[in-house]
Amino acid sequence: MSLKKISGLDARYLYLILLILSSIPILMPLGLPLAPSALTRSAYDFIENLPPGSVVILDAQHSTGYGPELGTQFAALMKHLLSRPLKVVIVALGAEGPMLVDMTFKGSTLSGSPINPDAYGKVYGEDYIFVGYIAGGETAIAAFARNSWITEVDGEQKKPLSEFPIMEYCKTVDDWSLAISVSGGNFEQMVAQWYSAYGTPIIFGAPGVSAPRLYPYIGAGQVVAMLVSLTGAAEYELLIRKPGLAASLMDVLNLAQLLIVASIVIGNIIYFATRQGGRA
Amino acid sequence: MIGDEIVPELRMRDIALLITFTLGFFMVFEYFLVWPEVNSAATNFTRVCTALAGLSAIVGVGNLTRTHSKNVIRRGSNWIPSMLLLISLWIPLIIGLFLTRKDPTYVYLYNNLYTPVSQAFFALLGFYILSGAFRTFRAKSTDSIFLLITAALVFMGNSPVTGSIWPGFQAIKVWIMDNANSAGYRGVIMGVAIGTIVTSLRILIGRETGYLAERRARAE
Repeated sequence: MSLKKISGLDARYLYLILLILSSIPILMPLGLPLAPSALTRSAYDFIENLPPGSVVILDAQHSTGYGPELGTQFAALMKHLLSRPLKVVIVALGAEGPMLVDMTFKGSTLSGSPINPDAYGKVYGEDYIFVGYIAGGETAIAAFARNSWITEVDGEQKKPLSEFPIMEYCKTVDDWSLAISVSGGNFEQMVAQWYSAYGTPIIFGAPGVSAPRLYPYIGAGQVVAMLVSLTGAAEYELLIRKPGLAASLMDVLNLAQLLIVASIVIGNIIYFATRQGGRA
Repeated sequence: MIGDEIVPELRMRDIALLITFTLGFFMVFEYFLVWPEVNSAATNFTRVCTALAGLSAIVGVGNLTRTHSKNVIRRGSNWIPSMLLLISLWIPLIIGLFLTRKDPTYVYLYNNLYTPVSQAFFALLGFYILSGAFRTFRAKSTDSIFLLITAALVFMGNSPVTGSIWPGFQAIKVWIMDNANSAGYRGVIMGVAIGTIVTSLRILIGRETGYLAERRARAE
């Protein structure tokens, strides 16, 4: 096959190659090596070093479209928080949050195996709570900081928040020791409303496409750390010693990324070869 | 009447501008005050705003329903997609409203219809990126050579397996993200921030009135 023919290859053959390459590790796990990055380790260390009884906000602001990329981050962070003596207040600042929180606890193709808080010795309303969905984007982000009881009732049992002892420790942003948000965007709004206004430490879970936006904030110390994409989730699973869905999908991601790099290189070799051939 | 000449009639538009000006500046200055009564009023105001944000969904649903119902009734262009939109909008809405998100039917629809479709749309990006990488990502100029090398290095750094081949890939990626990427984004962030401040001020003082949708109202 001549180089010109290869350069004009039908895109569907490329799709087929990607499909086959992605399927191999699912059928036969390769166990390619993975080491936690500095960013992921910073997030883990910050949570590990929180004093017992600290209030941590865990915001589900992602959507199902991000799939396991963010779903596994949320699950890994949840497992770590539940394994520590912390007060975990889960909130949904994104419209799909309530469903995604349910899916995380029950187990799903987005988040991996179910999470049973009882297994961690945690009691709903005492050690953790889901306060529900707050509409309004940046207004909701600001309003939740000013008044963490804004939903009045919890998102699980629909009972007044005053009936749950955990909420006595969480009334405003002044009570928060850390805010974690797993989100596809809106990072700047949370930095403005939570860090700039009140100095609250923030950890983000971000998809690969949005992560570059967050590096300046981490460099400036406005954001503690972030988990980047599926890789961040897999690294976190390794750090908490609970390898799950993200770790199992890493082989797929590795091969797909290598295929893209190979495509760039091969595409350019063909481009230069055919160009020189054309000139000659 | 003489009174009308001295005190011009207060129009709806002026009332909207007055509310924006008063509440906008109140919220701006409240941030700098430690005055419990004022702070509490601002907190209550943000609560009202979140309630309004929730209610605004009704407007959106109403508009969508009105527009697409008309299209279906008239058998206008693309009336079948309009009908599908109405079905996919109203069925989950009714189930969710009356039976809550815990209802098995709602959960079934969410897990087996919405989730796979939305994931499939996002997953398609992978195929387009591969096609783009092979067909269009070419070193045609000096700029594109820099972009191409940077992209390839970041890709290599992002792929954990390359770190075990040569740890330098990850170090290079971290350097690119921390320095070149951050420097570029800082400029963007500062530009956006200044633009936001200017636009906000223009809205507060009534120079920017796009949110009143006057032009659209006049057109209708």
